[in-house]
Amino acid sequence: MASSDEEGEILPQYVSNYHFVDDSGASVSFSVLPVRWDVNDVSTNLEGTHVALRGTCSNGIQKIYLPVMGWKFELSYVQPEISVFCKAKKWVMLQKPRKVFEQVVRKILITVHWLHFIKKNPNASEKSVWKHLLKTFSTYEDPPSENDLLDHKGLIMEAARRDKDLKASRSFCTFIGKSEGGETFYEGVQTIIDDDGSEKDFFDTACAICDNGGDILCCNGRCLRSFHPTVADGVESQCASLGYRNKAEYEAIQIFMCENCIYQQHQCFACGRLGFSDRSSSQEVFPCASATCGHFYHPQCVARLLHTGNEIQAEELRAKISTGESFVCPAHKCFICKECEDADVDALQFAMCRRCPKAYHRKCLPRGIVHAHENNLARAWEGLLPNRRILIYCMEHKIDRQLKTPARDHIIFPKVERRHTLQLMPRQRKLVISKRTEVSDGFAVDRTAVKKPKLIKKLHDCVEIGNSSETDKRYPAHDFEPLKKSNIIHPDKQALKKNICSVSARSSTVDTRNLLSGNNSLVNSGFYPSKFKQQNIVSSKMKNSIPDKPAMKKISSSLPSVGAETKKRILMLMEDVSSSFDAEEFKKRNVPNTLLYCSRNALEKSFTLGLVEASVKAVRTALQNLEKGCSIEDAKTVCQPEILKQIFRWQKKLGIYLTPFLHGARYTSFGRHFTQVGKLKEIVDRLQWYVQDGDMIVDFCCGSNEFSCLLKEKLEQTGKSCLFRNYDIIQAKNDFCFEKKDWLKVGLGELPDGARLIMGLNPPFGVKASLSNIFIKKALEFKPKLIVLITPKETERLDKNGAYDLIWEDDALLSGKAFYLPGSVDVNDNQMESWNLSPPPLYLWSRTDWTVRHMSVAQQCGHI
Amino acid sequence: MESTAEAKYAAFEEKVKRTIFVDNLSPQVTETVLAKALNQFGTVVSASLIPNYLETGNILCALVEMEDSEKANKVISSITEFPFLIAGMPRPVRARFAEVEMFDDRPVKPGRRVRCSWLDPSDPDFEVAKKLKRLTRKHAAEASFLLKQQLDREEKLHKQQVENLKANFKKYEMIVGVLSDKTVQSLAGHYGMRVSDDL
Repeated sequence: MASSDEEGEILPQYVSNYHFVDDSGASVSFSVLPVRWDVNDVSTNLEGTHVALRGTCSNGIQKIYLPVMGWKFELSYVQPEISVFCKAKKWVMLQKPRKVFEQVVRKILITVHWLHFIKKNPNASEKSVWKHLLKTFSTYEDPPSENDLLDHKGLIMEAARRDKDLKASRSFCTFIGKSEGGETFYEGVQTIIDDDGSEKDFFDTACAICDNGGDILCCNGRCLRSFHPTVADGVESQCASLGYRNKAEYEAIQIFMCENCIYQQHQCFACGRLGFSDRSSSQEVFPCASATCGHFYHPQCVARLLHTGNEIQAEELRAKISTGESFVCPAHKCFICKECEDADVDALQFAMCRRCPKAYHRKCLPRGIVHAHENNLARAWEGLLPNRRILIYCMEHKIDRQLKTPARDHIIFPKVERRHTLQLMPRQRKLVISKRTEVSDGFAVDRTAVKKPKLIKKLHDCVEIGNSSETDKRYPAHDFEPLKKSNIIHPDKQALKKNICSVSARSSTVDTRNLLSGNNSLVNSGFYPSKFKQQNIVSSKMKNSIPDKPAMKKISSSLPSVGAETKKRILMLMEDVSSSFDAEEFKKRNVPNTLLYCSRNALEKSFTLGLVEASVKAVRTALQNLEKGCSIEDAKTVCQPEILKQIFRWQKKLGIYLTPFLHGARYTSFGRHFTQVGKLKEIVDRLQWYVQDGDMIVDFCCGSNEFSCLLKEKLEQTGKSCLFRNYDIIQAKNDFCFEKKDWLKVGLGELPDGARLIMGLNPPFGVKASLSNIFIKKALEFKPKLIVLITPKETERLDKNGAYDLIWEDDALLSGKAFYLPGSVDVNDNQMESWNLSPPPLYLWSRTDWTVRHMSVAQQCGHI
Repeated sequence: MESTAEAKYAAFEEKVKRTIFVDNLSPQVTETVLAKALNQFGTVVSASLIPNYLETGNILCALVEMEDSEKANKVISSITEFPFLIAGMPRPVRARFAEVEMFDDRPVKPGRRVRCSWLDPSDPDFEVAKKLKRLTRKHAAEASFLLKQQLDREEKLHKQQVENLKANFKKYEMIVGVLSDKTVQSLAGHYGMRVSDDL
């Protein structure tokens, strides 16, 4: 794709600080140029637009001016890439635009990043897409929004035409629907998301290592921290990350715990030293009692902080904490005014230092922290922490110019015995060293950017232990300097000798990474967790081997042994099958719409064990404190009111999630509930009076399909002949007028005019009636004159928009054992029945122009 | 005599057509459970488990006779389309049309006679028979190996899921614990918050 990296190229590969000018010298966006969809298209006969790229390469050393003729974007990598095609028939990749130029290219950049994100996350909700973009373009004054996409609708459409991933992604469909101005089905779903969106996020949304957001992995332990799992996830902030190689590797871990939590050794947030944190006699560090705080402290450290200058009080508190008494760390009171946070008042929201237990109200935030934007050394960041808190580094911490954060030496993972696999490493290291000299030499001689990517690649090829380094290779060239290995200091000097091998192993990996990301300070700044990197290599190795190696299993001896060759063949066949299976595709194809919406209620990643534990404990502590006579204020710092609400929500969610395990050991799929025939008969008895000769009765979720049969029988007795239509996604037992079809996919033309339509009955409910609402919304498109429904009370009422009137509702009819679980039998092989604690009412809704008629029927029959 | 045998066989063939072969059943499944489970798609005439002589494994298979072949077809497509779990077991069952050989009580095909005899090692058919025997064993061994692999994978997945489930259940217990002893409620009372179910 990009220009070859032949020796002696004069054109740079990357240009940063760029802007584009036209003939008159005015700024112009590159989006005025034609998009070159076909990379191999190198034709030059493009007249008309004269646009030139200006900017710098080689890290600002070399200024360039290049006439350009077209542009393209590439979405397949970790970051979207935009390149322009210059007159010299070469592609040049764009990095950061000049600050003043940002506004000119804002829309096109947002569009490309949007496309990139929805391609990578086809199922991401609208909300998360924009959350991501907000993060990416956090420096923009106006947050990115849908309006930014509208100008490039043509581009989006064309991109979608060429990329089926894009076309299939949810956000794309929503966008198209919205921009057409038409009602789309997805909008209905949107409201459901918004309902859930009211939930507050309690988990740290920024990586503990680099303090940036993005794709993070939440620790399930008590530390309540998140980490970038792979280098690629934290590439933006040059994060060392947990060092996993790819998604599959860490997704295989069901319950991720960081090593501090596994070994129950946490750092004191005040002094930084590791200490044992398990509840035993030798416990050295104690957790803060606040529900959402994952910090640990030595009793003396936190006591000194809480009672600065008062030795006696501090000593008293120290003794108390040592015996296990709860405390709230200083990070929950403003450092200036010593008041609590009020998340609902802007000025009283907190800014939290990431490196020490210090917090400030927005209003109390020292000027030095807010106004440090000069020299690019910002200390305060909005939009990274949940609940609109500001992430800050207080003045105690020196900001590293390259990292844009303080030195990242703040995390120490406990050290555990090494694994023997690492003995391989020293040899590897030598390679690195020799290559490194080459790098620095080459660098000293030739300081142009053209060379750098190639060198990185070279170096990388040597170092990579057979992994696919695709992402790593794609790092833009950063400035890097020769590294000094002597700077590595082991946290525990006594162990140095014993661990010598591990140290070198560690440095080789750490160095490589640093070299690549242009981040020296990890190593330079002193000790860095050794176990950290090492473990990852071991684990990734071990993990790699698991799927490949089950071949060694023995088989039963009664049969002839299967030769190694055959085994290999069988395993290969298995591999073939599993690799050809695309789980996402399968879900898309096979999961009915209705289930797709349910999965939104799945548990979030950030709903960790540690968080629940901390919250539950905080609730108890807060109540105890209150009983001891603490103020409500103090209790609220331990357990925010929001936590209580959250506990109720969690209980509900978990209850739903665990239902099959809590209640349904003998459950037979698909989790349907049918209405008992007796109840159906009662409904038919009532409904028959409203039906006219020639009407069509549509049961949109017919289940066993008994309702229509009963109704037909009844109507025939009274001499009315009607049409019937019954839909369900699962084969009904009774074939009468049945069509196996998703109700949501039934087209408008398939059913007659609304004046002849009677519709409804028992749709799937879904959580908070979300599914019922979708089913009913669909039914309303047909404008039926009458709708009969068994739906939970939370369902949106049809008279909300004034198009329908309620004739009657009956909430007694379906009480008792009104439903049964088809296909499920209990221990005694009897049909399993079910009842609802609060029975769903039976409703009869009439289109407004039919209300008078239906009302009179209801009165005549005594239904009202 | 001849015609009755033919009629009998024709009836049997009809039966085969409306019967489905259900595979990958968990050991908890009984014939009643199976019949009830499939009864939601159509009337089940009969359901019988097939004993497994080759494997001592714990995966069952069964033959289920539906009212007609069209229904049988629909049941198969329903089960193939959505993962269908029977008796709460996390193992989706598989279904396909039954074949004549699956019935151990099948009538003799009219006009076909089976003769058994010992073969002398010098007989030219002896080698053929031997080969057939070896091939059968080889296939069985391969199938067994494959099954073992699959079960191992299932086991691994199961372990992951159990781990996940345990963690979630632990959360649930903690939450229910703090709710049931009214700690949350009384704290909410102190905060002056309204606590209701529809939060």
